[in-house]
Amino acid sequence: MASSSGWETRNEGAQGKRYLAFVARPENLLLGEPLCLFIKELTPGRRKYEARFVRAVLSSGEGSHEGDTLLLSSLSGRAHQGTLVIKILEDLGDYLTGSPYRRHSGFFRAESRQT
Amino acid sequence: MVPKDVREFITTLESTGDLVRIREAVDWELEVGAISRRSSELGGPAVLFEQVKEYPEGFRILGGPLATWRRLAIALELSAETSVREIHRVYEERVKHPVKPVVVKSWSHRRHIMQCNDIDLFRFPAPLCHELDGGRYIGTWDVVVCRDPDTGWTNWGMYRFMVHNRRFLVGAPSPASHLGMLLKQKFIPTGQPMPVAVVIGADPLCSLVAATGFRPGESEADFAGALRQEAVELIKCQSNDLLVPANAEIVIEGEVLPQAAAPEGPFGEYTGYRREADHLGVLMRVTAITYRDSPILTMSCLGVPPDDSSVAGALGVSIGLKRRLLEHGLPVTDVFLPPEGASHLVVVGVKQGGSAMAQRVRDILTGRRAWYTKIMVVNEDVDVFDMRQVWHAFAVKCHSFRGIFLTQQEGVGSELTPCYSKEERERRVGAIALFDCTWPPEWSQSDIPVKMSFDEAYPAEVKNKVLNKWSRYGFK
Repeated sequence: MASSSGWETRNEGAQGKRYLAFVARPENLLLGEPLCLFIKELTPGRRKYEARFVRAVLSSGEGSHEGDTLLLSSLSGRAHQGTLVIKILEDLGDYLTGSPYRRHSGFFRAESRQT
Repeated sequence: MVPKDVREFITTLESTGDLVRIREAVDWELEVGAISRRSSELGGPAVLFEQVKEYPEGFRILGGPLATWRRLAIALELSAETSVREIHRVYEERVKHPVKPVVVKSWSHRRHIMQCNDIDLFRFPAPLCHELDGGRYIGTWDVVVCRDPDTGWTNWGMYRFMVHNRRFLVGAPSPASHLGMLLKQKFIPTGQPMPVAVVIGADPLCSLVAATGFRPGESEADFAGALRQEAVELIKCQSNDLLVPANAEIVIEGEVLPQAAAPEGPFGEYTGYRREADHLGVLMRVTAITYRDSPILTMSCLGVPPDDSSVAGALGVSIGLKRRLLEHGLPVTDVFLPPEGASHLVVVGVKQGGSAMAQRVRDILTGRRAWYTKIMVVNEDVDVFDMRQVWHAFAVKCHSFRGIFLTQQEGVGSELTPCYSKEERERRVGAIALFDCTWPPEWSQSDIPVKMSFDEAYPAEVKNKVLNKWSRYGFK
C-alpha cells in the first residue's frame, strides 16, 4: 500500500510502532547485523517526530513478525519506497559525541554495506 | 508607537486587514505549514492559528509575521501603503541612530517556567512545516542570543532550530555565521558549553534585526532600539546571564554542547528548495523555558519567495550592503535584494558606471561570503526597487559579451545555493555572475542613447500639462 509520501507499507498485521530514519543511501543500509542510527518516532501524538539514537537490527521483514516498521528517507527528504523491520536493541543516549559540523556521510558509512 | 510586542502587532495587523485568525483546530503536522506557505505565495495576510490539535487552548502559532512589505511597513509604524523605496529609506535613516537597550528586572510577562525534569519542548506546538522535513521546527522566526566570552559582545541572529527530543534542540547555524564562528573559535577549542537563548515571539523589529546580520561587535539590540525609536527592554535569563527581550512570548534557555552532535534537517529553506542535510547539527541542551500566558509561537514557513526571509530578512541586508559599499567610497545610490531573488540576486544603483566600477562593487559584496551569486549594477536613472526597470536595463544595457563577468572563489559560497553540485558545496565554491548594466564611462554624451521614457523624453511643460490633465483625459 503506497502512502502519500510514496512509502509502501508492509503487511498491516505485522506492524507495531512506526519509525522514520533519514539516511544517505537507504538502499545500502546494513541488514541483519546490529547498527546505530537516529530514528524518529511516528506514533501519533505530541511526541511524534521525537528523535531516538538506538542500536538496532534491520531486516527486510519478509516472513518476520517481530519488530517495528522503519520508513526511510534520503537526506534531502525524498521518501524511499519500501520499508524495513527494525528491532531496537538499546537506546544509546541523546546524541553522538564529537564536534558538530562533521559530515553526515562519515557517520552513516558505518551503517552501510561496503559498496 | 511601534508595536511593543507580538500581541500589539497582531492587533494592528487585524485592524488593517493584514491578519487572518483561524479558530478551527488545525494540525501542527503540515496543515499549519501548508496554510502559511500558500498565504505567503499569494502575498496574503499573516495567519494566527488559535487552536492547534493535541494542544491546550491558548497555545497559538503566528505564521508569516513579516512576509509582505505592508506588514513590514506596519511594524515600522508606517502606513501599510508605504513604497518599498520609502521603507528602505526609513530603515536606513533609523539605523544611523542606535538606541541602547534598558535592562528590566520585573518578570511581568513570562510567568511560566519549566526547569530541570519539568522541561519538555513537546509542550509547544512546533510545526512540521513541509512534508519530509527532518522534524518539527520550533525556531524558524526567532532571535538566537549568544555572547563572545572574551569581548562580551552579544549577538542576535536568526537560526533554525528543530526539536530533537524533550530536552534538546538541534540547529544548523552556518559555520560562517556569527554564532557558528563564536562556537568554532571560542567554545569548541576550550570544550566549554556555549550559553544561548532561543527567543520566540519577540516584537517584530527585534526579529527583523536578528534576521539581518550586522557586523561582529555591533549590537542588534541597539539597532532594534533604533528602528523602534525607543529602547528595547531586556531581562536576564533564568539559567544563564544572557539578556533577552523582556516582552518575548517564549524563551528557551540552554547551552550548545561543543562535543555533541545529532542529525539536523533536512528543512525547506529560503532558497525555495530543500537540500541534503549532510552535516551533523549543533546540539543545544535546554536548561530552562519561560513563556507567557497563552504563548504565541512565531513561525516562517520558508520556501519559494515571497516570505519573511525574502522580504523582511532582505531589507536589512540591502541596507547593510549599501553601507558597506559607501564606506569603501563607491558612489552607490541604492541596493535592493528583490524577494524573487531569494537573497541570491542583488541590484546596485551607482552614480558613475562602467565595468571597473561594477567589478569593485562585486569584490566588496563577495569578499567574505559569496552568498549573492548574481549582481546587477545599474545607473542611477534606473529605480532599483522597480524590477521592470531593472529587467529593461539588464536586457538592453548589459553587453552580452563584455558586460558579463563570471568568477569563482573557494570557501566562500553558501551550501544552500540550489544550483551547486555536491562537490561544489563541499568546497563551498562561490560562483558569481556580475552583470554590468551601466553605460561605459568612456562614452561621450553623444554616444549614449537617449532614453525614451515619460520622465526623459518630454520637456517639463509637456509633462506638467499631461499630469495636470491626466484625469480629465479619462484616466483613473
